[in-house]
Amino acid sequence: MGNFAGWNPYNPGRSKMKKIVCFLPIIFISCISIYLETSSQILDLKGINEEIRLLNLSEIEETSFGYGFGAGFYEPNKALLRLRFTQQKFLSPDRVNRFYFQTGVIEGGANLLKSKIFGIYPIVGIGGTFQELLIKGKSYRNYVYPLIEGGVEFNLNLTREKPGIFTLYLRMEGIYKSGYFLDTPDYSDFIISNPSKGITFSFGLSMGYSAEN
Amino acid sequence: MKDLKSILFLLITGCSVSLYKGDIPLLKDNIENIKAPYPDHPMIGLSFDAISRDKNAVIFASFQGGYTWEGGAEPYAPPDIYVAVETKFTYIQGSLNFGVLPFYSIRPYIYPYVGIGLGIFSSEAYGAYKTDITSVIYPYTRGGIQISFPFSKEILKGKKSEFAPSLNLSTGYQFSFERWLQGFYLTIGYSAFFPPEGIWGILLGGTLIILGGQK
Repeated sequence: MGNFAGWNPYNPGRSKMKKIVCFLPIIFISCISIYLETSSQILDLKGINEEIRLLNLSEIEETSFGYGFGAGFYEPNKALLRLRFTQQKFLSPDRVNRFYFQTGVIEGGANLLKSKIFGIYPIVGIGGTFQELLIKGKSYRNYVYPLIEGGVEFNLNLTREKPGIFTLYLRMEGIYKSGYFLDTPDYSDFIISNPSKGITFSFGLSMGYSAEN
Repeated sequence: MKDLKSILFLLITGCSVSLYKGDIPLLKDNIENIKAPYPDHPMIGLSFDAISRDKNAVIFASFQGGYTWEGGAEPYAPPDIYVAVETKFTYIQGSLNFGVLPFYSIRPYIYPYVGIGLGIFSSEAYGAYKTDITSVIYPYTRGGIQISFPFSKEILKGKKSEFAPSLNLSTGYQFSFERWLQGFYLTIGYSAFFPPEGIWGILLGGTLIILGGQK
């Protein structure tokens, strides 16, 4: 009988609703965290480099180094939910031409291990990306295009006490963005870029305050 | 009434001097193109830090404002007519920061922290022929190390924060999205210890000031 305590045969949706209502307080008593990370990214820039080649200029390298930051909720043995911004700078070998890849995503995941010290989180996220290309002193910017990402994150919680939580993390993820053009504001000139896809490796730390004592 | 007096006292004594070696790559080209000088020296300003500590956690709101100026003369017309040129940078920014105390027993408190915030940056560059005026709101993140020595035995014993001034030293690096005001900073002086609920009030007030300051 105990196994069926939450089951209502007259209203099966009610038990689901109950679970959702029970989950909401977990978010609000979770640790509020701020994230800071360094990351490197490998991005497919074929479309942009083809355009640069037409101008006889040095092409952009497809590997970059960047950083990210964000804020969100973090429950070490359960789940995380965060809003994160990143900026990657891709340079040409002579450092004259630059490509900036900026993203803002909301992402989350659940801890597979249910441990308060170590966590493995499959991560999924959705957001937007904004790109800027600087070539020959001219800036090409595009609209904000949608972006999806997915990967895995490893967390190590270094604090045993509460309410302060200090965590190191390592994340690997694939990203995919739609969108085809980098336009100048007056529409008189543009660069064709293919929908970018790539891989990001991030290492960061998060610090936060947990209201639960 | 007593709390109000404490808050006023802390607003006066909670300030420190900040030095900011920021670089604004986006503006550098524009300023040099109109033949105005680019200020290379650190921006000097004030910082107000409201800190709260609860066991091993530290939350603090931090507000900074600063200014720098560079002037010179550029040739305007041949053979030797010069015109005065100048550039002014002004910024005001506020952030929410979290720190975790790695060692409970060590006094003063030494802790790493990370924070995110919002700022307004204004640049006025008067070149030989043209003027370039820019004003932006930028999000930023920062990370660093802070040392706080509160003038309160209760706080030093490990109890929750209450109203008290403290000596403060903070240093770190700021990243700014869109490459506005990015670089090293140092603040030294006083800061104010508040109860935790005071931090959220200060932060809300600061956000309203920053958002209200946009033209």
